[in-house]
This record gives sequence, structure tokens and C-alpha cells, in this order.
Amino acid sequence: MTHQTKNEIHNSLIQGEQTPVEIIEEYLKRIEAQESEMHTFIEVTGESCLNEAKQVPKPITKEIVEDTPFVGIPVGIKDNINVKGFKTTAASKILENHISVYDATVVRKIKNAGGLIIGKTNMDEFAMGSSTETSCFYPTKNPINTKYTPGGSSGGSAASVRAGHCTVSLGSDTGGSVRQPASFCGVVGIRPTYGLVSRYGMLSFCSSLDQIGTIANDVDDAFSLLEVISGYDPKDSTSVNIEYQDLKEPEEISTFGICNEIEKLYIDPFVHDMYKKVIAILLKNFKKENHWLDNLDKAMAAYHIIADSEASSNLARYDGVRYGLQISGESSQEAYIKTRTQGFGAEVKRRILLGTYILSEEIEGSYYKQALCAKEKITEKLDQIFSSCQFMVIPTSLKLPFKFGERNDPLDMYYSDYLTIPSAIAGMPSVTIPVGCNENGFSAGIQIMGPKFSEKVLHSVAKLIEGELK
Amino acid sequence: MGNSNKITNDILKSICRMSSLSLTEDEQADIIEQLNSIASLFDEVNTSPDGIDDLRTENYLSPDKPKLFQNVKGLMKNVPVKEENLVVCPVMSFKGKQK
Repeated sequence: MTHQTKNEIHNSLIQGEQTPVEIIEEYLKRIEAQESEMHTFIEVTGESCLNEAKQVPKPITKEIVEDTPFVGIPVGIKDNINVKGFKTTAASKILENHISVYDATVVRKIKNAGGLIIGKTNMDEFAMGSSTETSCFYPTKNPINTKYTPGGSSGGSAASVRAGHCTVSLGSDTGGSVRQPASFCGVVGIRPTYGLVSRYGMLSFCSSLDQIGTIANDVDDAFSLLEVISGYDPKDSTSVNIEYQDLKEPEEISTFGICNEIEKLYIDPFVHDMYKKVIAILLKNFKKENHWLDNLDKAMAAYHIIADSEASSNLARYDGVRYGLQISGESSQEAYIKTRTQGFGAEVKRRILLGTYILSEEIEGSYYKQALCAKEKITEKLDQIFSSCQFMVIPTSLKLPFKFGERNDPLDMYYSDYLTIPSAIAGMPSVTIPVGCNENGFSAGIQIMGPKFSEKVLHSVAKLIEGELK
Repeated sequence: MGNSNKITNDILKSICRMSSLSLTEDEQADIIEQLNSIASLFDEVNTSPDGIDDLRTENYLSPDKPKLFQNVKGLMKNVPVKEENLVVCPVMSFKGKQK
């Protein structure tokens, strides 16, 4: 496995050791050799990416790198984010042959920063899953050990970075879909504050929780990509009017919080040891506070109620009329039913059915409004915690990666996101970093969570931990 | 999930119709079991059996007016549609005449 970082590639380009075309050829060669087993991508841009690489100005200087920070860098894009001229399928049969007609805002920003889109990464169907096993095409293998899943739903994005199929990638995180796979593949993954990154051009699953996040081999690359894609976008009404450079600087970080509930949960012993190791590193620099998060179980329930409800509404647009799979019937209603029944996979159907049930008139008050109340309560609790400490540290996942087919019960699979849901539901940022390496080669993912718009604080803390671990 | 809200075959048929999805009989049996298993999770936020609603007693939300985005300051300022006769929705902006 090759782990070239952005800086390593830029140094090589500036010193004239390699050209952008040679870099892309090297990556494409690696993809070609491994893709039949790994399945990190749904579509590889190939010739198009090489042609873009030929357009990169020569020679590449430090000034060019400062102006276009991703010049010559191969970037993977999750297949629920539009890249003009290429498929955007969300790993669903219902969009199997759908070609994007425009670039998502994040893709436009990456292209403007010189990034070269190398492919569309595999994922769980419509981002519903935690292992890529719900992709209608194929599951992605974990590059560390191919018997194991890479996590999900952004499993292709995390695996492609780890396998050296791209330098950085974009994923989407609704309840933990960037952080959990990043943790499983031993890479860095960021879920930003809700509203910091435009969702324009991303296929909606749960609009009030979906966020585009970044994945990279090191902390600096992940935050550098986040800086490029952040900022206000009038095309997304939930976009917040703030630019990355205006975010709070990491001054006077004195205190971090830990969550008392962690000691009461069954956590893999290796993950627990690595969590303690990170706390020990942090204690050299900061004071520790103990907090009860409260309502962890309510967070999990509220998340699934809100997510399934919004999914049932968002996915109503896939009816075979405007785009995607179209199966004819004797009436338009029959055509809708046939198209949706054949086009959606089992997990997506389950969530649509549950969402429809939750929103049905008879029981709407029992669940949906209560879930919104729980969401508010969890957010208030985290706001209260972050009024006395600047960040919190918790494990990303309760367990280490699991093998294919090992989690057949949907409810069991949902618990993969148990510790990533609280920050998602509160709209707060979180970064997972890999810590340690066990006998199977897996790292434990440890999350640094902060209040809204504290990305620069998280960058500083994650960088400190990364430095101490080297 | 309380018994009153258990998903039955009839409820499943009704939600399948509303979702424009169809299931075979075998699939129906499987999915009822799965949906009820997942829905059991939702009891965490359901109204408690004795009628005391612990989430609502603290006035987090009024019953019929969820303030979904109340913690994102300035969010509404960013909604691009600001003309007086237009309706603004917090999730997406759309144009429609007010009565």
C-alpha cells in the first residue's frame, strides 16, 4: 500500500521528479491492478482524469500550489455527489445509468483548487448502511484485510484512500458514514459543522443531518480539503454564511471532556486501550473534565426516526418518470410500484417503509415530534458541556471492523453508529483519527468532537495527537 | 414498541401502498419481523406508558411547532428568497403566493 500525502506529491511535482500525468498514471495503474478485488470505485474517470492532468500548468511552483492547493492531486468522490459527465448512482439500481448533468458545489470547488477527480467511490445504497454490503453493485473490501468490511456508508471513499487509489476523498456523513469507515480503514475522517459545507449536488438521504465530509491519510490533508470545500453557497438554503478562515482560532485550549457513559458500554478492549492512550496524551497538555452525555439511547432512536422519515420523503422522487430506472406498467401507479420495487434494495425499502409508518397520521405525534424533542435535548446538553470544555474525546466505534455477512440483523448494524450519532444529531463537527495497530493490522478510531464551527480547534488537537503517536 | 403501535400485516399493506412498493408474501413476513425489531428501538423516545411525556415536560418544543433549526443562528438570513409575498421554508426555499 502506498500512502502519498498531498505535501509529498507537491514536493515531487515542484522538484520536477514527477509530472501530474505520471502521478495519475501511477494511481490508475494501482487501481487497475487491485480494483477487481477491492471494488473501491463504481466508476473510474481514467482518460478524462489523464486529460485533466495534461492541462495542469508547468512547471509547478510553490506559488501555483498556494493558489490551487490541490493541483495535481487525485481525488475520489462518493457516488452520491454529482460530477458532471459521470455516473451518480448512489449505488442503487434505480439510478444505475444516471449521468450527472452538473457538478456539485464541492466538486466545482475541488476542480477550481486544481484537484483531479479520479473516480466515483462505492458506498451503501443511498448511504443507508455501515459496511458497503447494501451497494447494488458489489461490496468494497477493507484494504487492511479483504475478509473484512471497510465500514460505511462511505466505505469506498475510505478504502480508496487507504489503498492508495486516491490521495483524498469526499464522503457523506448522516449519522457517522464518514467517521466509521475512516476508523475501520485506519485513515482520518471529518464530519464538519452542519451548514459549513454546501450540500448542493449531493443526493439527499436525510436533509437535516446529511453533511459532506473529507477523508485522508493524515490530519492536515483532511482539513486542507475541508477548507477548500467549505463556505457559503446560495444554492443550499441550509448553508451558513461563514468562511473557513473566519472560524474560531485554536487559542486558549485548556480543558477537554470525556464521556462517563463510555466506561459503562461494552467496547472492544483494544479500542478501549487506545482511547486511554489518547487521554494520557491529552492530559500532558490539558485539564480533564468528566461529563454525562445523557440520552445516548435516545440519540440513536431519534436519529433513526428523523433519518427514516426524511428518507421516505426524499426518495419519493425516484419514480421512474424523470430519471433512472423505468419499468412500464398498465397504469402509471403500477409503473411507479414496479420501478421502485425493482429499483430499491432491501435496506432502502425497510427505511422507506419505516419512515412512511412513522409519518403516518395515527402515530406521527408518538415518534417524529418526540425525536425532534430528543434532538433538541441532546444538542442543549452538548452545548452545556462545551461551555466548560473546548472539546471531547470518545471512541469512534464500539468495535473493530467486522467480516462480511457477520452482521445480518439490521438493528445490530445500526449500533455501528452509536457513538457517532450524538455529534451528527447536534450538527457539531467531529474528526476521527487512527490510533495504534493491533495484531490484524487494524487501528482504533478515536473521535475529537467540538462545538459548532470549532473545526480549527479540532485540527489543532488532532494534529497534536497525530504528532505524539508518530 | 408498545403493542398499540405494533406493525401488523394490514399496517404493512397500507404503508406499502403509500410508499408505492410491493412485497411478496415471504418478504412481508420477514419485513414485519425486521420492522418491529427496529421499531422497538423507538420506544426510547415514545410517550411513556403512564402518559408522562418526559421529553415534553421541560418545554423543549411546543406540541405543534417544531423549532428544528433554532440553534443555527443566522440560518434563516441565508435563505435567498426574501420578497414579501413569498413563502420561505426552512429546508428549501420555494416560491408561492401567500394568502
